[in-house]
Amino acid sequence: MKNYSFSPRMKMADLILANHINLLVLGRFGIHLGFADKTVDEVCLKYKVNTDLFVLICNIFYDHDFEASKPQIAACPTDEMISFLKKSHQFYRVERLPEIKSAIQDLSASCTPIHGKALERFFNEYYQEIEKHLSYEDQVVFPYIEELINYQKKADFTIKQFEDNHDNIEIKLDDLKNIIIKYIPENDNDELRKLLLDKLFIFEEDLNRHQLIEDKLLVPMVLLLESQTA
Amino acid sequence: MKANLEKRILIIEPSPIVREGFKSLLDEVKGFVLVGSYADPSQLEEHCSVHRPDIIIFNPVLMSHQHRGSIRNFFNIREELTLIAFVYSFVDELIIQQFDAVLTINDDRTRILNKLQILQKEHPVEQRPESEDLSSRETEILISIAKGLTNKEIGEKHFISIHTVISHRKNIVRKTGIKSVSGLTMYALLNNLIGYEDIE
Repeated sequence: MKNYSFSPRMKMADLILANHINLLVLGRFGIHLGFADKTVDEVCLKYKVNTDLFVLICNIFYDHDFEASKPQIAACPTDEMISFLKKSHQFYRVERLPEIKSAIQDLSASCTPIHGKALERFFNEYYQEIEKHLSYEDQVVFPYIEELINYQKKADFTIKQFEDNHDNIEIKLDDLKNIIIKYIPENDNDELRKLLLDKLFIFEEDLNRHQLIEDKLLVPMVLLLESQTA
Repeated sequence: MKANLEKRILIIEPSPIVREGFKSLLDEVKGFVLVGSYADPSQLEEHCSVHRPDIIIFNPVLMSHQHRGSIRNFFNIREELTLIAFVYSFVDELIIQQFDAVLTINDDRTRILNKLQILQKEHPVEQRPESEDLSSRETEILISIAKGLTNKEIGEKHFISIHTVISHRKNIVRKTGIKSVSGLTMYALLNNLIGYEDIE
C-alpha cells in the first residue's frame, strides 16, 4: 500500500474504508455521509469542494511520506485551504478538547484529591499552550494569508516567520500520556485511564496530520502567492 | 523506545584541539557517542556518575608520579569500563599496562576507528534496563526543577556546574520519560517529593 494514492475517480466510500482517519477530512469540508456509490469528484462537485485539494489532503492524512508535486500545489485554492484549517481549529476547540477535558475531570475525580488536582493543573497548562498556538494562527497567520489572496500584502510579515512551533504541544502531550500510563498510582481506575488515553492518541494523530498539511501544503502555497505578489 | 546500543565515550585530555578532533571524528561514526570531554581528571568520578560512559579515553600524562599506582583505584573506575590511553609523549610502561588499549597521536582515522570497533566486539554493550530509578542526587535536582529554579540557580544551590545540571536533567528526562518542566512538577507532586505549598 506504500505508493498507493487516492484519485478523484475512485469511489468516495473506498477512500474512507481505506483509512478511517479520512472521516475527519469529510467533516471539515462539510461533506455528509450517505453518498452511495458516487466518486470523489462527484461528491466534491455537489458540495462545491475543490477536488484536487480534497484528494491531496486525504493523501497526506493517509500517508505521512506523501509529497505533493508543485503543479498539484499550484492547482489548489488557498482560500479553501485556510477554511479547512479553520474548521480543524474549531473542531479542536468545540469537540476534541472539551471531550478530553471531561475525561480528565472523570479521571481526576477517581484519584486522591492531591493527585486529581495535580492532573487538572497539568492539563490546564497544556490546554493554554494549545489555545495560544491556535489563536496565533487564527489571528496572525491566516489573516495575513487572506490579505495576500486579496493582493494586499503587508510588508511586516512573511510565511517564513511562521515557525510552526508544535514542539511544546507535542512534548506536553507525551508527558501527559506518560503520567497517565505510569505515574498515577494504581487506583482501580483503568477504564477511565484507557478512555482518556484513546482520546489523547486520536488527538495526537489528528494534530500530527494538521501539522503535515500546514508544512506540506499551506507553506508552499503561500510561498507561491508571495512570489506572485512581490 | 529502542535500546541504547551506542558506546558512550568520555574523554580526558588536556589539549582542546585534540578534544575537538575526537569530537568531530566520533560525530561521523555510528556506534559511538561522545558524552563528555574534560581537560582535567580531578572530577572524573563525578563525571562518570553523570555521563555513565562505557569507554574512557584518557591521556596518561595526566597521571602524576605520586599516584602512578592503579589508575582505576585512584579514580574509582569500575572494572567493566574500558580504559583507553591516548598517547603523544613518553609514558612509563607500568602505566600503559593498565589500559585496555592504546591510541597514539600518529593513528589515522581508520586506525582509531578500527581499534574502537575491535574493542566494541570484545565488550558488547550490555543492554541497559529501559527504566531506572532516579538516584538521590537526581531526585534532589528534580525537586529544584519542579520548584521552578533555573539551571543557574540549581547549580548554585547544589554546588555543581551548569553543565552538570544539564547532564542530570538529561538523565532525569531519560529515566522518567517526561520532558516538560510542568510534567516534571506533576511527577514530583505525584511522588510526594514536593507539596502544593512549594509551587503556589
